[in-house]
Parts: sequence; C-alpha cells; structure tokens
Amino acid sequence: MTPQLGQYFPLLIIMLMALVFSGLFIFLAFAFGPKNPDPNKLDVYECGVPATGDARHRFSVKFFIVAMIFLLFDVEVVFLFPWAILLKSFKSQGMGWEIFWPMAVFLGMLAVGLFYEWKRGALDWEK
Amino acid sequence: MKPDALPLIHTFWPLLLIGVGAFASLITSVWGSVRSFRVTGLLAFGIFLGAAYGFATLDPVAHSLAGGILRADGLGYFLSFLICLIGAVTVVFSFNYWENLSEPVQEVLPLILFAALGMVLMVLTTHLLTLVLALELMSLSLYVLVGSRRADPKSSEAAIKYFLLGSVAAAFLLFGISFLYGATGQMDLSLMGQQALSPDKALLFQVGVLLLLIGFAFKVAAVPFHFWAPDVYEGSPAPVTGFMAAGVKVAAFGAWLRLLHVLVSWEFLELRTLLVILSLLTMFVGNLAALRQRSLKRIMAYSSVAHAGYLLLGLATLVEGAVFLEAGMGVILFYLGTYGLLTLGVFAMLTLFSSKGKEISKLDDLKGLGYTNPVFAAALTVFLISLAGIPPTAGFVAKYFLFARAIETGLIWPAILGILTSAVSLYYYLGPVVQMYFHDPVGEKSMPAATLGMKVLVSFLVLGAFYLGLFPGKYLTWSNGIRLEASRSTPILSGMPQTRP
Repeated sequence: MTPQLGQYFPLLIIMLMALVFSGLFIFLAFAFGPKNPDPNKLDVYECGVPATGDARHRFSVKFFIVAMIFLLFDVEVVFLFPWAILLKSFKSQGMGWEIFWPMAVFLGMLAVGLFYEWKRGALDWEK
Repeated sequence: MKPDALPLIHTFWPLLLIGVGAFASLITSVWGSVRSFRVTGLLAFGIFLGAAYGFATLDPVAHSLAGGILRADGLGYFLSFLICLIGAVTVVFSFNYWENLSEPVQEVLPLILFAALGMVLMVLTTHLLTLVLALELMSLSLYVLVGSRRADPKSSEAAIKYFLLGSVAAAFLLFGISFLYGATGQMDLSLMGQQALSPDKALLFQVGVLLLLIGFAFKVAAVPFHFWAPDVYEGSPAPVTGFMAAGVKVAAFGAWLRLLHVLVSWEFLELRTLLVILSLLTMFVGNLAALRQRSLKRIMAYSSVAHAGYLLLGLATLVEGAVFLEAGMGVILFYLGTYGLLTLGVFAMLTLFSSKGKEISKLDDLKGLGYTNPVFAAALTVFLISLAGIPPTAGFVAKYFLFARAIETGLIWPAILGILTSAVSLYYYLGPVVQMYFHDPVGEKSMPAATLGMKVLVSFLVLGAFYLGLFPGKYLTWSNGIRLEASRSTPILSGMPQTRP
C-alpha cells in the first residue's frame, strides 16, 4: 500500500467498526426483541392521518414535460447570472463582444427549443 | 465577426453546418404535416451532403482549436465524411419508412441530425470531456430514435434497455477518464501524450484505461458487453438500426484510434494482448450466436458484434510495444467504410420490406422473395454475401486487407481464428438467401412502393459494394494516406484575460 493511502487506515477501521456494531445491534433486536404486531404498528406510518390508497399512481405525462422545461430554464439561469456579473468587467477590458456572442448563441438555441415546444403544444395544459 | 472566429469557421464549417441544420430542421418539422416532413427531409439530406462534401474537400491542417476541443486532421475529416454519408443514406430510408405512415414521427429527422452532430464531434475532438459530451449527444438522440415507434412495446423496451446500459457505459467511460486525468493531470490527449509518467502512477493509469475500454466495448457491442445489442437492434425501426450499427461503430472506433495513439506510449498495460483477447471473444460469440437466430435483424445484431471483433483485431495490429503504427490505420478505415456501406444496404432492404410501420424481419417472411421481387432479393443477396466476405465484393477486400495486416504484424493465430469464424458466418448470411430462392412464396407478398430516392440509393449501394470489391485502389490509397500528425495546438481563446477581472 502506498503511503498516501496508508494514512487513511484509521478511517477504514472506523467504517468497519460502524458496520459491525450497527449490524450486531440490528441482529440482536431482530433475534431477541419482543414482537407484538397489531394493525396500527404494521401501518406505513404510525402517527398522523391514516394512509389511504396506493402510492403508485399514474401521473399525467404533462407533469414530466413541465419538469423538463423547468430544468432547462433553471440551468439557463445558472449560466446567465455569473455571465451577467462578469459582462461589465469584460467590457471594461474591451472584450465585451467575445463574451456576448457565446451567450447569444446559447440563448438562441434555447429560443429554438422554446419555439418548438410551444408550437407542438407542450405548454397547453388542456388539449 | 471576430477574427478569432475565422479559423473556426474556416476549418469546421461542415460541423457548424450540421449543428445549425439540426436546429433549422427542428423548426421546419414543427408543423407536423406530411409536407413539413418532406421539407425537413430535403433539408436534412442537403445538409448531410453539403457537410460530406466539406469534409472531403477541406485541407486537414492538423492543428487544434480551443485547447483540443476541436481538432482538424485527416482522421477526423475522413471519419466525419463517412458519418455524413451514413446520415444522408439514413435520411432517405427514414423518408421511405415514415412517409408511408399516416402520421410521420416528425422528430426523427432532427434527432438523426443531432446524433450525427454528436458522432462528428466525437471524431473531431482530442479533449476527453468534449468526447464524453459528444458521446452523450449521440447516445441521447439514439435512445429516443430507438423508441420512436411508440405504439410498439418492443420499441419502448429496446429504448429502455439501450438507455440503461448506455448510461452504465457512459459512467464507466467517465470514471475511466477521471482516473486518466488523475494519472496524467491532462484532459487533452495531445498534451497528455507529451507527459512522462512515473511508475507509481501505473495503477491509476491501468484502472483508467480498463474502464475506458469497457465503456467503449459497451458502445460497439464487444463481447462480453454485447447483451443489449440483439434486443435493441430488433426493437428499433429499421432505418434507425442501420444508422446505429454503422454510425456508432465509425464514431467509437474513431475515438479509439485517437485514444490508442496516445495511450500506447506508456507500457503499463499489455494493450495489444488485451485487444486480441477481446477481439477473439467478440468474433467467436458474435458469429456462433448468430447461427441460431431466426430474425434478420437479430442476425444483423450478432453480425455487428462479429464485425466489431474484426475491427478490434485491426486495432490490435496498430500497437507494437510503445509505438502506434499509424500506417496501419488505413486498413481499419477501409473496413469501417465498407461495413457501413453493407450494413446500410441490408437495412435499406429491411426498410423496403416494412409496410405501414409493420416490420418484416423474420426469415420465414422472406420466403420466395426471389420470385416475387427479384430485384430487391438480388440486392439483399449482394449485401449479405459481401458481409460474409465473398469476392468480388467489398467485404472480401476489406477482410483480406485486415487479416493480411494482422499476419504481417505477427498476429498469425488470431488472424487464422478470425478467418475460421468468418467462414462460419457464411452459414447465417446465406440463411436469408436460401429462404428467398429455395422456398415457394407463402401468401401474397405486396411490397410497398419504394420512393425514387430509395431505388437510386439502393442501386448506388449495390454499385458501391462491387466497385470497392473490384477497384479498391483509389479508396485504399486515400484511407492509407490518413495520418494523425502531432503538432502544437494553437488555442483559439488565447486572447482571454489571464487574471480574473
């Protein structure tokens, strides 16, 4: 073992100890603990409103489209903020256009995407 | 326009053409009518032909832009040229396939363009992160294309399978790249090649290269990472399968050539032995498993596995100790072109046989086709026997050069085993031919009308198969002249401010 990896050896021991002890206690509770099951205890969640129905519903595919559009424009904003902050300092060094055009291209691509989904009716909920 | 942008446009305008064209086709396809499908088809076809012309005529300058993100050299241009031709052929198929349907799937053509953009980018980059990005662009588009027959559960199943396994492959690839980066401290292959590695980095390097190898083996369906191939090939629409089989192979092997070129320079790993073992496994399993298939698409899937095996043997011939034998690349490039041509030919016929979105792929469905449709049957026969490697067709020449090269470089036993498995492959390639000519037609066979473009295309492919088989000289000289010169990179963004403003 190389010396760099060697200095992490105590960490390995801690992980092993954690694994052994937690496993041991779970096993002990499982093997020797008292078991008196009743409907309330076997319920998915023991307090609060009683659970009704099944969690596995079918969702309308429109929710996924909304999620996708959200993701797209959220990521766009992540790029846009640092760009907007840096734009001024780039401009003061006479390089405004060099940072302007890439963002223009990027936004242009997004605009095509927006146009596409608009035209295809992804934004109409009732259809 | 900035003067810095000029070299980008000058050396990569075909790439930009595909990119801009992909967006343009998205706009033209949005109306959803048959007419807009036609317009988009023409647009996509024109873009592919224009880009192919560009890549064929541009002068490879062998220098990199933006720190290796794009590299203009002979290999990249040649493979991009092949990919554009494959794309153009696929557009014609898709046209024939989807126009017969009452409601064509509009997104198919833009997705083909985006996938081709990913493939072209993949062979034009030496930067590992761009490589991953390009691979993902290609793969994500292909996943959707595979699932584009939404009414067919098999298509959806294929898409899910391909998506899951493809994501695993991408994870392997990315993990391997991170190990390589850890070992060398470089992401750009051309800079990585100038690095000397101390032996204590050997472990990182070995793990990285093995993971990369696994990732690419998934993509080209090399054994033992081929399990997705038959189901995916069977489930996806015929034009898409052809595109996938031909295009992904060209792109992935192109990327492998670039990687090998750099990776061989440190002898931490017996790359040659590894590749030979992988190749032998792939050839054997591919050819033997194909014998039992009763569907032409599944046969083509295993055939694709087997051909990946031959190509891997070709890769192994390039490695000699720490030297990358650049002169041997021509054989692989010739093989890639030939394989693409013949595979597209077979899938062209399959596209013709599918009427109204119902695919005909079972061998029994081909019964008696030699009498009801003599021309199509003859064309399919040409493609199949050429894939098996019978002279005087292109497949023979390609295999001959490949195995001759393997024997020259000392891989005598692998070459002999390869030739033997290739002889076995004759059985399953001739299976459909037997069905077509030695059985009586069952029921009435009505072929859907082929578009004029499709007829012209099939004639071209048949002629190509014979032309490359009889007069390979010109194409071979061209592919043998392809080089990957190492030269200093000239970054396009060298004018960026060095200090943070």
